Amino acid sequence: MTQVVPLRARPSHEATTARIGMIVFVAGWTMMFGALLVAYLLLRTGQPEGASWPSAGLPRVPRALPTVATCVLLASSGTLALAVGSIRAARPRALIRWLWMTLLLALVFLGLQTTTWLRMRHLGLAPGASLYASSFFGLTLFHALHVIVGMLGLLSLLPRSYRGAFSAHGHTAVQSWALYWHFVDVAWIAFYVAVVVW
Amino acid sequence: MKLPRVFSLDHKVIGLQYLWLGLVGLLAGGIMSMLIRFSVANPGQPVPLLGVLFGPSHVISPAAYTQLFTLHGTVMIFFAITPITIGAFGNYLIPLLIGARDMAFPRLNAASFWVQFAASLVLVVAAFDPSVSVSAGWTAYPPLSTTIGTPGLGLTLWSLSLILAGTSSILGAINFITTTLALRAPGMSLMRMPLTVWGLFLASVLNALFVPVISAAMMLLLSDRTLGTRFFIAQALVPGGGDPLVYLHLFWIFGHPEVYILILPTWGVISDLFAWYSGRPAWGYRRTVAALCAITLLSGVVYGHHMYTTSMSPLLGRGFMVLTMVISVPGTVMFLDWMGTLWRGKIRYEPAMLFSLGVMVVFAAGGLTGLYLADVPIDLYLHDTYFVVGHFHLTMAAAVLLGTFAAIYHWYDKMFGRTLDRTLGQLHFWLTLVPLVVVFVMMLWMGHVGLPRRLYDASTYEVFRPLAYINRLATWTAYVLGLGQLVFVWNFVASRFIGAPARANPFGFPSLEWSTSSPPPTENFAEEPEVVRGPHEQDGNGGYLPQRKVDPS
Amino acid sequence: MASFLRQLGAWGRPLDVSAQGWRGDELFGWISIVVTLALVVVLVQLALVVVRSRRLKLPGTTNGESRTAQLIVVVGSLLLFLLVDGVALLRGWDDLSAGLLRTPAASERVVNVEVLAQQWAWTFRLAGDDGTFGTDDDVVVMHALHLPAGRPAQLELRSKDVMHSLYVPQLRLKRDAQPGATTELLLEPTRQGQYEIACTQHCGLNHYKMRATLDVMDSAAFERWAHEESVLAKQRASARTSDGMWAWPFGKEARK
Repeated sequence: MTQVVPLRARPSHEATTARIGMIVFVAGWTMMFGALLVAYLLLRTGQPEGASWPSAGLPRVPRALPTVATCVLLASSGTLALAVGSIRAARPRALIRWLWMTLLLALVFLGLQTTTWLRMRHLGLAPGASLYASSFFGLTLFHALHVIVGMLGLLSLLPRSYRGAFSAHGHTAVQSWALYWHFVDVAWIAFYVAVVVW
Repeated sequence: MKLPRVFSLDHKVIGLQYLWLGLVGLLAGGIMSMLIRFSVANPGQPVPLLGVLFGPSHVISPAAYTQLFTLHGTVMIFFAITPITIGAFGNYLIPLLIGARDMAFPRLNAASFWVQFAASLVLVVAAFDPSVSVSAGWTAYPPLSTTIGTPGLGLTLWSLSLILAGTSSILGAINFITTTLALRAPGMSLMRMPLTVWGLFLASVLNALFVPVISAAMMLLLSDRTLGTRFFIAQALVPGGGDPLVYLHLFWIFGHPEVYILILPTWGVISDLFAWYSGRPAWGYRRTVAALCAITLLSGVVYGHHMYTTSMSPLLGRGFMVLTMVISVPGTVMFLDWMGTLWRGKIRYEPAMLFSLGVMVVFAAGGLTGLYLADVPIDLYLHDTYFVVGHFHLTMAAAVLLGTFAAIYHWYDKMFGRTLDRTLGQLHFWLTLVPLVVVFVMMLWMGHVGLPRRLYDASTYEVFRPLAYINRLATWTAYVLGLGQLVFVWNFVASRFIGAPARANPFGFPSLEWSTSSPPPTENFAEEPEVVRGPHEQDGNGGYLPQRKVDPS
Repeated sequence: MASFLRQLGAWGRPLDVSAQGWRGDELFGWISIVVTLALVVVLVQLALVVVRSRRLKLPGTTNGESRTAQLIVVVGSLLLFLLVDGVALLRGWDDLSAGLLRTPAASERVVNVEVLAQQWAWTFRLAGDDGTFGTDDDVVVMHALHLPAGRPAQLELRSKDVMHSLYVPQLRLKRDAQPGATTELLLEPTRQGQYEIACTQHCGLNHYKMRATLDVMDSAAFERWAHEESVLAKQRASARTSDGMWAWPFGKEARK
């Protein structure tokens, strides 16, 4: 048992497997976010006729903050795309810079979301106050959880970036997390339209 | 850093870990079914042997009974069948059968096992929570499953456990799909894969797409239970409330594909075994693959037949009636292909083959009873009766159980390097098939008389009192079934130590796993196999040509 | 021996006492014939396989992908579908239109009933002499549904708490009662007598005790009973507490 056998797929497959794996993952997660959206649509359209949304007497969540948050998250997708572009152009220093930039924007996004939640509580919109508040809290918290997972993923790329482990042709992990991040971003836009704008 | 073997990344080790975990689940779920049968036949009587589980009185109370049938369903589906057929067989067999060294993502693979393990632990804690609240049925319809109907930590942990188990399934599916698509050995085209791999692959596709839906439903439920949200608590109960029917939609959008997730691996396995144990090609291989794919596609659009009695629009109900029946077309194609394989076959009655034939019989019976339930006018009578219980146990419990045994008998040599006792295997087959069929046919009968399911004591209703005889008979048959499994337990455990050492390929099977040692070494094949033909090509002398290119030397 | 035979009789389906139950029963019988035939074919084929297998020297070599085989299997499956499922579908479809989903004519003197399900009891409300729900003369009865024989009864169901399902084996029907929604069920009992109503949707610990009686009466007797109860209800109205006041406007139009 002294023989050390690397227990992994042949290196030549890594790019392919990572891509397929990420596609399947995104497909599955699209179903999960989709199911939540469908649930929300069914609940909202199932309200008794004439009932207002939010229910009468309840304040609406102010739209300004979430809108700013949306822009910040979109920007973070942009900076992450720049990060991927940098490593593809063999500029590892730029990769590190853009990764930090993305993480910073993600943190701002979470900060804005938290402010929104706190303001909602202030307005009397606790999660149990009404279906309106329930959906807002439920969907945004669920999404924020995915942002946090994405941030952890991006953080995990940093040590390897500093070590110079990524190259123009070997940066599958960066690409995978970028795909995840863009997915979380697109999902947010759907949620934003559904629970904030509409 | 060297990890202890229990945290191994080798797909075979993880596969066997899944197998043990699933077998423990099967044992637990089986014991629960015995307790349920006891309670149904003797409500309010003290339980012999296992009475201590139910407090000083040794009596299964209504609360304990509801918890038992909830846990039985949950454990069998998510903690027995799924870990065995998909976790164990998928992990162990996919890389071996397609000639890969390991799964595409070994670390993710280990992670999915340990998440499933954590889910099991959470469920155990939920089951022993003093609130006895894991009692809303495995379908957990709200508002009964919200804190309004069932307060208590138990059910909250139950939904958490399902989210974990679902995560494990999705991670596993990502691995299986990627491995099948990207890591096949040179020459192993999709149409040269054994049908076992096709079954596992398609089950994984459904897992990846539809398990997320129940995860979403469970998260909303969990949120209702813990954060005080009100997605599924109806308008009538609280102002500004949600709609329980939304849960039903989400649940069955997942729930119907789930039954195909459970049965697809079995279909794949027996399609191969019919060929390999009768010396025949898998008759209409491509057509079978097409039928399996068609069923996979259709499985996502028939779920409404679970909701005929709800406030869902009757027009939708009619649409689902049509779609549900359409799924019988590819089902028939697959079945005819099995018949074609067996026809003019030289059958070898090994236990694996017997169990496969058993699948065919119970699945025919179970599938055909679906014809009654698909019809709205009949379903309004039979819905939520024992007819439904008998139907789904024949199709997805009996068929899957027999298919699981078939696979274990077929691949035990390869997995453990020892041989199972053949005679005990055959004995086990008859002790399983006969009581299984009898029990579930009796359930069909009681359901057709109208007996509702999930009743603690059916004698509440005068009209069902005469059924007590059949009920008791079914219970005794179930005991025979339960005791018969001891033969398997003995054979499975003892053969590990005293079974004859297995040869690499005792029966001249053609697929790749038989071209390496039993059990296979780490990374499976000493050299990367090159595949030159399909999985069931005859050699003209009653045997098969190996799929792998044989070195002239 | 006689008691054994009686026992056997009780193991069959309970007698159908409804105007449309025969539809489902007939379809059930027809499907049963098909299912039995199919199972016999499968078992005979398996038996033949076993017998022939002994005589065979070598297994057959056809791989089932010849044009003939394709044709037999695909066309065979489609034909089976059309013959079996097709007939079942058409029958089921017609049965729905003619039975469950039909709208009874006014001349049939439909009895309207509001049903409130709760853990673990059924409460039935008739509109009373004034024909309007939610008035003092409503006839509200717990655990027992009174209906006239030979007249359709339009039920509307709601639930106060969790999901329930109203089921009468002898009428071959069930329908869920949901909180936050109103479901409808058309009952057409034809024969006088007392039958049992069961809850078939798991609704908690005492689900198995959620039983009520269906009392199908002669039409004239029903009218008499309903009138007397309605008068009594009106007399008692002043003393009634608010928990009797759960009625809703009956009919889809009225609820809008």
